[in-house]
Amino acid sequence: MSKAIIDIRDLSVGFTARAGHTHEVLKSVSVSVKAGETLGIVGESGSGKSTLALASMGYMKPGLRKLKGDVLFDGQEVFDQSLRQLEGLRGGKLGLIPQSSGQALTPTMRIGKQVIEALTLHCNLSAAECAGRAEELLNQVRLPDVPAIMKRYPHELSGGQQQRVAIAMALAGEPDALVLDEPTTGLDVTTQKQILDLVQDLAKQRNMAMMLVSHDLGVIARCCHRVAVMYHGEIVLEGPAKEVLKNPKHDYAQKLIDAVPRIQKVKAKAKKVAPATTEALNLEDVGISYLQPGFWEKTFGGDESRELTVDGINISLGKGKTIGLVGESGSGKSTILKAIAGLLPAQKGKIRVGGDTLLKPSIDRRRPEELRRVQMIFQNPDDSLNPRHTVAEILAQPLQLYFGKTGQDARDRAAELLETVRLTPAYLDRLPRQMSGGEKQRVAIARAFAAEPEIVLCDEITSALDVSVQASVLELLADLKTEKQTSYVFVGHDLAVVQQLSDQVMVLRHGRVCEAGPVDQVYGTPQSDYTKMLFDAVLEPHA
Amino acid sequence: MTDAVTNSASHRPSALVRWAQVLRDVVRRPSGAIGVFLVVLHVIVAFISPWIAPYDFKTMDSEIILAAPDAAHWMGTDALGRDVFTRVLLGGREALWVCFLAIPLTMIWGGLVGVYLSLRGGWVDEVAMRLVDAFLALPGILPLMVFVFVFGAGNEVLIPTLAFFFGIPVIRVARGATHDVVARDYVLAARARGHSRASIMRRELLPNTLDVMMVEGAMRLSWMLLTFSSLSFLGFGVTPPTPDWGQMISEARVYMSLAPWGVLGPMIALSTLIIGVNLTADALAKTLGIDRTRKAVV
Repeated sequence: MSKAIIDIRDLSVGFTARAGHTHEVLKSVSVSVKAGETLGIVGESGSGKSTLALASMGYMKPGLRKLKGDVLFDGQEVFDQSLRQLEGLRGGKLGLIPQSSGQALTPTMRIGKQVIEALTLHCNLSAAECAGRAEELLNQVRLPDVPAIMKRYPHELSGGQQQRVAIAMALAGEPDALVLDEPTTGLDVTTQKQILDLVQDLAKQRNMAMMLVSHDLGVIARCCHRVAVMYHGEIVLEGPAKEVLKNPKHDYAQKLIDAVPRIQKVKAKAKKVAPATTEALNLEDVGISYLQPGFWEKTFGGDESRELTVDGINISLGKGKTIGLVGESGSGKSTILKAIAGLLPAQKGKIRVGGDTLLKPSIDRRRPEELRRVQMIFQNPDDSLNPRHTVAEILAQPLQLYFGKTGQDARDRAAELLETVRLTPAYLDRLPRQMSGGEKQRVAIARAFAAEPEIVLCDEITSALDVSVQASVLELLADLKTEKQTSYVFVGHDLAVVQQLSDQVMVLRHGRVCEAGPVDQVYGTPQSDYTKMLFDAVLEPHA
Repeated sequence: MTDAVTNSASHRPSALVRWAQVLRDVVRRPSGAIGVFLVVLHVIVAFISPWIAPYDFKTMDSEIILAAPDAAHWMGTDALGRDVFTRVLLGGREALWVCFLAIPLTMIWGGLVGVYLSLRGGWVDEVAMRLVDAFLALPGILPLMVFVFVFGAGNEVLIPTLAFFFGIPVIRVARGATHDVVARDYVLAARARGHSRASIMRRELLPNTLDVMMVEGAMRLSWMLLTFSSLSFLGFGVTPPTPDWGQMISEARVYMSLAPWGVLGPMIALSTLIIGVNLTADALAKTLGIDRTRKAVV
């Protein structure tokens, strides 16, 4: 019977608001993790899961303080320890793997030196021994060509490699426990799978206790023995992973799990896609380069052999249909959207809308009427809505630009648009910061539809949202598609989301088309090895 | 439903209300309270000094040359027997008048050019910024002196000249502040919709750089006051007998060992004004959450 390594009892954390009123971020939370066990903590943004993870290391974000309860590590209260003792503990017996290790690594220090530094802090080893041990650790996290990697700087590594280095550094102090705060968020599915495999193997080898915080139920399902579901600072459900994820005995947990889109099983015989009546968008052998021709090339002609970042893209999309573009980061899916929008002029090929109108590559040379027909929705609504504008002003912009509507006219139309995205006219005078992420994204969708477009380009529009919000936004998009017969080009990294919305799919890799076809065909019987690998890497909570 | 639309109270305070709130928060900070007090005091004095000054500023009296402070002349008299207190009260009027007019001009021209360059980018930006660098390499006050020397020292020359030279570093600051905004998706979204550059500047960029520009303007104001006084000190500013602190310090410093009060009065007046403006700028920056230490002060 092994005892709990991390033991949190009845912990409350909060901050004191201006009026002296104490606001609790964590409310009487109790969890414990034993050696060799992995505890998953899930919840949506703001549920307090990161606060809990950091508290287990004796750390609070500025402004927060412990109100009551105990945080025990190996039987000792963490918050009673001196700073010096805590320094020995953190990174020593208790390692942290942060979300974006790219930011956790010192950008001006070579990888080898950083790992050696972590070693000298926590072990009594000579310099030569440290170097040897660093190499050993980097080998353990399965980095290729370790001597070369040790000489590199963090920015010269990929996201997955950076995460591996962070894991190696966390292992430097021979930890008994690891805290992983969204360790794979922002990584591609295939990389995510490799990192999770690695972490699990290491935990097994060293019999470590792990606390894994994630919003991704798939990740939790893959790695964890037990799961705690957090909601508004409380643990609403805790139990063995299988039980919690298969039949959760709590309403919120049930809702959370149901909201996760899953890849539908497709019958082997794909149903025939009805031929599109009219063509909305056509891309013919489009090629795009991020290196735009400079002044010199434009004037004197130049290097024709310049390699295109994205090449050979052919799309034929019917009215009211959706094409999903999938692929890992850097595969060129967003680049294609930018080319269609004209933000990044295509160097090669033809882009047509509505079957006949040939769009000029550059936005500066397109007519307003042509621009109106293609609208774009961005990934992060925090970034795509001007923080100084009210919703009414945001929606008035396309209305004025394309239809010359101003004043009360524009306001009335904006109110109508809000209703089409299932918001009320009461939102007209709100500022972006007065809305939730999902509401903001709805406003962004309303802004795109204000132009009455034929084609809407969606760039990972649900990846910044919580799962339950994502589900409702996807539903809205599907409804609008049927109502308005709009065609979507939908870029996503979540294969299940793409499947849910798309009629056709295009799998991209390194800027080239890997596989394309009707969604049922690609998802049912993937032809290329790469597509198969993508599907294999998908983690599902229900599996 | 339409009632709800037309009558709903706005969630966003109007610009006036917002700046009133900002001012209130500035005054709540100790530094801001002192700063605003000093600036307001100077402005009030500048307004009412013609009526409250005890003597005529140009009346000379050979009987009391360089007299020490007494009940009749609180700050003594200068080398021509004029009352120093009267001249100190009046001596900030020109500086405040010129600088308060020149600063908005400075911020508008420097700000607009900076924001435009940031949005325009490309070779235009490149060439313009190298020109800015070239101007910044000149020692500040020298080109000003040349202008004043050639065109005369009237306010109609001083105001545009000061605005022009002070606007050049503002270009750099505005461009830097805009760079953060230009990279945001809402600017990309506006470009994708096909808005003109002018419209993107007005709607997306300027509202989001306004805070930085306000703080920058307050900072530049203190520099400009100092520069104005320096010009007067060097004899390029206000024409005698109009009193001006810089000029008074310049005249009285010859007699500093005999009559230190002649330098002390204008010096205290000038420094309290500049300290006041600086403290206000500082409190404004803190209130608006702008980290001035991170911005290069050029």
